[in-house]
Parts: sequence; C-alpha cells; structure tokens
Amino acid sequence: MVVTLDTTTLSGSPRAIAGGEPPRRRSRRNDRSAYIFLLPWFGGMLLTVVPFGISLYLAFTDYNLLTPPTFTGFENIERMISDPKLHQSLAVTFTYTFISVPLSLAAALAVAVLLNKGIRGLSIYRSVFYLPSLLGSSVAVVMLWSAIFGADGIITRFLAFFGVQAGSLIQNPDTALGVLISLQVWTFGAPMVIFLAALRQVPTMYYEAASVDGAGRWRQFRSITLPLISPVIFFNLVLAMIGALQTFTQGYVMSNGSGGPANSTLFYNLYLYQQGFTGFDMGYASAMAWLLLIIIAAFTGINFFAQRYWVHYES
Amino acid sequence: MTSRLRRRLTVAATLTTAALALSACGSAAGGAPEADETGPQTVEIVWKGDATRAAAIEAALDLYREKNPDVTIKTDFQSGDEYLQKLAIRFASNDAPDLMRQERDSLRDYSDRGTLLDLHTVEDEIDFDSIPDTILGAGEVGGKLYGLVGGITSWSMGVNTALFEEYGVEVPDLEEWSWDDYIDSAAELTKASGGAVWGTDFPVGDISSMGIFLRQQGEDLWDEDGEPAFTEATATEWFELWQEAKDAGATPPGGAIDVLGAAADQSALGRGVVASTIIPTNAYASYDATLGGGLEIAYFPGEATAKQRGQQIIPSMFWSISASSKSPKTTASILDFLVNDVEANKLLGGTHGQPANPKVAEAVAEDLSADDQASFAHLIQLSEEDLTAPIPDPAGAAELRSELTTIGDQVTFGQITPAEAAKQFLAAAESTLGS
Repeated sequence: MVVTLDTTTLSGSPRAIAGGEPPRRRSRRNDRSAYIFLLPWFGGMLLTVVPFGISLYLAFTDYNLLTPPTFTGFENIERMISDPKLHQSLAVTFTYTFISVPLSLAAALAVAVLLNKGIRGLSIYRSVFYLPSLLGSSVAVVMLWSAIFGADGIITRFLAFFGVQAGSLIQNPDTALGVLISLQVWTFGAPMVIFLAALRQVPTMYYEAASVDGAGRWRQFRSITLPLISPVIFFNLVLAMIGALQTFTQGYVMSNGSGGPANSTLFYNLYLYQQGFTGFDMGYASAMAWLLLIIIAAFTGINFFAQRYWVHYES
Repeated sequence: MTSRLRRRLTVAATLTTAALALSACGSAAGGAPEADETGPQTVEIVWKGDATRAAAIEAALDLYREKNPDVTIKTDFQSGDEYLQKLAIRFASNDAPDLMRQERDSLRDYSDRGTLLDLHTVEDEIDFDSIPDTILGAGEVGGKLYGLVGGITSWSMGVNTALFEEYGVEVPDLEEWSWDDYIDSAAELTKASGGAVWGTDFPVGDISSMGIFLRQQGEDLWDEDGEPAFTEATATEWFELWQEAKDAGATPPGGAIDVLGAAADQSALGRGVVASTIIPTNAYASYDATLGGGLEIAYFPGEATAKQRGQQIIPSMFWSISASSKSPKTTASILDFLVNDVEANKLLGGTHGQPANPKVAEAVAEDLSADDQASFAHLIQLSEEDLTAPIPDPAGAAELRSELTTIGDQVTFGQITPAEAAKQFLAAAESTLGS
C-alpha cells in the first residue's frame, strides 16, 4: 500500500528516519564539509538560475541574437495578445493535451488492468506494450507514422478499401493533429507500468470481501480499484499534462519544422522555437517561454487543487 | 591520516568544480582590432548543403591550401534550416565564422544588423570587375556590398518528357507554351495514365513561382522599398489558376501525393509521381540523374505571351564575410579564389549554379557533365531574353515565404477560396515585409 504518493511517509520527522539516535551537537567542521559537498549543487544551480533570470529579462526586450537586446517594456506581451499565430499554437496545444492525455491514460489503465490478471508471460507483454514509449517521440517513429498515414500509407489504403478517399492524413490540415494524437495515445507504456505497479499493491482481501458481498467486476473496479490507485492516476495525470503542453518533436518532425499543413500542427513550443531560431526574435521567444511556464504552473495548480475532490489517500 | 586524505579530496573536488564553472563562463572574445595579417592565419568557412557539395568545396579549398600553406582553413556545414539556425547562435555568442553562405532572404537580416563586412573595404583582394554589375548589385544594400554572388541560377519548369512519351501524350512547345497549354497537357497526361501519375504539381504555395506569375502580369512580389508590389486581383488569378488546374485533373488535390522531403530523390518529380513542377536550374542535373534521364528544362508557361518576362536570373547564394573577422584580407582572398579562379570552379562544378564570372563560366563549361551543360545552356538562353533584374529580398521575405506555404495548404484543402487566399496573402505581405 505504499505505492501512494502520500508524502507523509516520506516527510516524517528526521529523528524517525535516523532511527531514534539522540541529537548530537553539530560541529563547525561538519558544517563546512557539508557546504563543500553542496558546492557542485550550487554550481549547477547557477547554471540554471542565471539563464532563467536572463530569459526573464529578455522577455521584456527586443533581441535578435545579432545585436544587443533593447528594453521594450511590455511590447512583447502586447504583441502576444494580438498575435493570431500564437493563439493558433495555443489552440493546437490545448486540443492535443485535452484529447491525448485522457485517452492515453485510459488506454494505459485498461492495458494495465488486463495485464494484472496474472496472465502467462506477463513480463514479455509488459515489455511489448512499453516499447512504443521508448520510441514514441523519436524521429524514426514519427517518420514511420508519416509513412503509415501518408498518401500511400497502410491506413490510407485501408480507408480506400471502404471507399473513403482520404488522401494523405498528414498533409490534411483537418486530420494532421489527429495523427499526432494517435501517436501519443499509442505510447502509453510509461503510465501503464506505473498503473500496473499500483494495481498489484491493491490487497486482494478487498476484492474477496466485495465478491462475498455480491459486487460485480465493474463495481469492484469502481469502488475498490479506482479509489485505491487514485493517487497514481493523479501522478500520471500531472506528468502527462506537463509533457503534452511541452510537445515539440512530433510536430517538428512531421511538418519539417513548419507546423504545417496550414499551421494545424503548430505546437506552442514549435512556434516558440520558430520565433527564436528562425525568426531571430529571441525576446519574443523568451516572453513566450514565460507564458508557457505560467500556463503549465496554472494547470498543475488546478490539478493539485482539484485532487482533494477525487484523490483518495490512505493514511 | 584518513581524515586528512578526505579533506584533500574535498579541496580537489571543489577546485575542479570551480574550474569547470569558470571555463563555462569564458570564451567570449569580441572583435579584436584589425591585425596587419602577417604570419599564419586561420579562417573558418561555413556553408549550407549536402555531402556532395561539401566534397566539391573541400576539393577547391585544398587547392587554395596547397598554394597558401600559411593559411589554415576550418570548415563546417549543415543542410537545410539547421544551417541558418546554427549561424545565428554563433553570431549571438561572438563566435562568427569568417566566411559564410548567405541566402537571398537572409542577407538583409544580417547586413541590417551590422554583422557583415562591406566587401568594398577589401576590394584590393577581390576582382569585382569580372562580374557583371547586374549580378554584383544583388548583394548590395544601401550602396554597400555585403554579399558576393557565388553563382547564378533561375527557377524554371522541369518537365519529365519520358512520362509524356510513355502515355502517348504530345509534349507541348516548352518555350512558347501558355498557361492553358500547360494545364491542358498536364490534365491529358493524368487522364492517359489512368491516374497513375499527375500531369503537374502546381506550385501554388511557392513564392518563387508566384513571383514569376506576378511579374508576367507586370507586377512583382515587392518593390525597391520593400513594399508589396502586387494587387489582390492578380493574386486571386494565381490561386484561381490552381483551382482550374485541379478541376481539370492536371494537378492533385491536397494530400494526394506524399511530400517526403526537399531533395531530388524525395520529391514528387524525382520519384516520377508528377510529370512537371518548378525546379532551380542548378538542381536539374540531380533531378535528371534521379529519374535516369528524360527530364527537360522548360520556360515557365505564359512567358512568351506575357507583358514582361517573369523568370529572372537570380543569385543562387551569397558569400559574406563577418564584420568581426580577424583576417578579413585573407578571407577575401579565399572568397576571390572561390568566385574567380577557373581551377577552383572546375572542382566546384555546378553546385552553386553557373559561376557569376562569365569568363570562368565559359572556361568551366566544357568540363561539365552533359546535364550541367544543359542547365548552363538554359541559363544562357534565358539571359538573352529581355529579363527584369531581381529586386533583392527585403527583410521579412523569409517569413512571407512560409506564410504563402500555409495559405497554399489552405487553398489545396479547400479551406479558403482563391479570393480569400489573395486577401490573406496581401495582408501577410503588408505586415511582414520591411519588418
């Protein structure tokens, strides 16, 4: 039952963790070596915090990479408000997130439940289902996907067999994003493995008790499994949403970096990249990066707020 | 004993960390004062292209290295969009290469920001007189010369006559053909092949093609001031022409053919899926080789009867020297070698199109492959027509190019009408050009 993300098991008092050892006076020498050992961490933090601060400054400048940045106040922010391409990229990213995340989590949970039935060769199935996740956002798989959904691809021919002349689903602005969503759903391996671990932690005695009381499979799943693994669902949900909001590779590879056809796969991060590295507008790109940070923080915050209504922690 | 050892280890670890942190911060030098360039020099050259081009350029540079043992030449290249992205980062981190390739639509981005050397300042090293003024002028911005044309080319029509013959369709007159001839013959070919191939891939979202069409109507994409130089009505005609070609079955509807990539063997023309489309003349050899022969270079449809010629002789690329180069004279002498030396250009072949220096072009021609000779011949024939001089790309041209790609996609998938497309394109031109 320790699969839960319950922080209380982790954040018990230091004494409890140290095993009840009596407190010892810390010597100054110990302090010093502690700081020395922390130095690499401080160094690493500098490498993160400094660029972080610089990008915050750049967000309020006009910076073309070639000449020094000039401070422009809130100009970038005003531009973001009236930039139709930015709004398009947000629409693409939100559509992608709100469709692909629930679908891929549902798929992951469904497969995990099936695999939890104690079938033979579980480890093989687990590996097979996990495999796509290892490859998912890699260039090779996106290329493969492009071939499958292209004008001459298997799916397109399959549809043609039923009289649907769809043409290339990748070049069609109405379907290109759908292809990418299906790719994302296909790579459900990582949450599946975590779900599987959680499912195996649910004590069988609950199910035994429930079936004695006459509860069916579905009822057991709803009333026992779901509440008990809800912290893991929450964990997967938060991670998947953050990941989906930051999608870049799939859109870049499938559209050759353009976000096409007709901006239908122009993910927010892809547009940000275009602004910074092909449009030489690093100031605007920095401002966009901060907006993304705020968006992700907001969604994560909402998730954490909403969890009190549906996540069940055992304590 | 052990505690002392431990302490020593911690100190060592600390120092290493500090050293690593310091080395990460260093290395930003900035423009050093101009040296007199005596003694050994190091020059870095970067360009965009594939391995074949790299081999040609390296061969030419080896010749220079042999003659100038004091000069160390470092090189780097990327193909595709990665090239300009890396270049921008290098300029941003004060690590600009000495000599670099610039595109027609990137030259202004760099020259406007004072990052390129005015080549007039190193004119002792470069023979400009050998290059016709009209060609040289393409690299000028505000009276200063920021890019030297590395070669000339044109956008022309590539027509796979082998496919026409295979399906028994008569090839139209490729010099005199009108837009109607073009669409009719392509539609006939699609029909004759039973849908196995398409007669053409009408380049509706391609800015170079649209530019040719606009000039044929007496307009252009932009004028000298970097303002849009076309009317919404003429732009509408262009998008309607695609509609007409699609309705006739000459060109495929959106999504009917796969676009695998930009290289000849990935293109629809190179794979024999379509029988004609726009190609850069200097790429003719690689397309024809991919197809195993049968490709012809044609004038654009409508050229013979147009108000003015739409096709132009254009620079295929520019060589530019960075303003922060520590060896501008040496770099300029390499640049001169690449552009004006006959032996160097024999090794370069047709990779950058026809050499901008006519004498060099003539001397090189006889050593070229038959395909390269054909594309050179096409350029020479074209140059004898009454052409308009290309107006250098204004800032924002690259962005407008990608806007048109998007609008073209929307038209081919029927999301917008030709009239709406024209309206959008004009609006895009007004907002992106000159910015």
